[in-house]
Amino acid sequence: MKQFQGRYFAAALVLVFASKAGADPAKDLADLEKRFESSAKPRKENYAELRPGFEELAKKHAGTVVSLKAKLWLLQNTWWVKDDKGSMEDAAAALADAILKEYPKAEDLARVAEWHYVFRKEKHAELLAALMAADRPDAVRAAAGLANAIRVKKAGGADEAKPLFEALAKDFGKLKQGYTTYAALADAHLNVHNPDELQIGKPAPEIIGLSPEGRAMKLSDFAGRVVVVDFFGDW
Amino acid sequence: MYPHERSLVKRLKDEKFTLLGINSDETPEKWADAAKREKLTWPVMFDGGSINGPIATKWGVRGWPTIYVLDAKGVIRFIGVRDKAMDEAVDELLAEMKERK
Repeated sequence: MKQFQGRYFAAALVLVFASKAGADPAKDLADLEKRFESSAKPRKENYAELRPGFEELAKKHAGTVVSLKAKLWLLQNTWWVKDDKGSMEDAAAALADAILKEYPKAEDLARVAEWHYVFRKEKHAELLAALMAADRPDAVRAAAGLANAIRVKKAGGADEAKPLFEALAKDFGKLKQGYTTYAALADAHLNVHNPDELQIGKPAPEIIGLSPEGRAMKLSDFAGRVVVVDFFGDW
Repeated sequence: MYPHERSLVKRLKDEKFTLLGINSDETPEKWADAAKREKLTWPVMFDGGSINGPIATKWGVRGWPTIYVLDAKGVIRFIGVRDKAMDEAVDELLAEMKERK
């Protein structure tokens, strides 16, 4: 018991010093992210300034969740060198390869699937194939499956993508993506309204959804009224 | 955006008019907070926590806000009207509805 108490005391001491010395890597990461989000400087400038900090964290805490998150930040934000497209794509490819190698089972790999805009098309396709592999976590496989179906839809058209969305709904339909499900997302992609039908003079298609409190709602609840449909976000 | 919409909804509270928000924020709490802070009262659907949610995907929405104004029969009559133009569109459709009666 005495020995246990001693160990406990030592652990508590370490904690106290760690937090005081700024050696809490998760907090350091959060601080850097906050600085990036709240700065009034142009994003590109801000990225160049903060990038060494993220790189240092990633290196110093290699193998930890903090390092993974720092590397994901670096990957996503390669976007800010987009003026030099080749450099952006090279940097993104190298970072993504390193992340996949170092953290093959991390659920956060799902985010890599969505960042198509920093990769060469072929590289993005290659990464998605790697992320859809059977030994990845379901959250990663589903996110990569959705991104891949969207990629195929853009490149080859809706007919070519249809079986991919159907497979996604079948394999991962019940899995949550944010507050929705892969079934709902696959369904939406399979039933996109024809833009010609969303024009002045055309009847508005039904909208079925949930209130923020989770209550079922639909556009036709407001039949017989003049309705402003306002797609918005508080950002 | 909120102040204009709040005044429109307030002015037309006794009319057959609804402002229906389709919210693309990441969490439902964001609208709850804004509604409380800004005293907003209109109905909102939460689109799954992403700008790529199911409703925005079906409607092909690529910019926010995106506005459609529907008449009492559910027909799209105006697209993309903001501020004063939104007020005028709604007033016109309400007047039209009354004339038909």
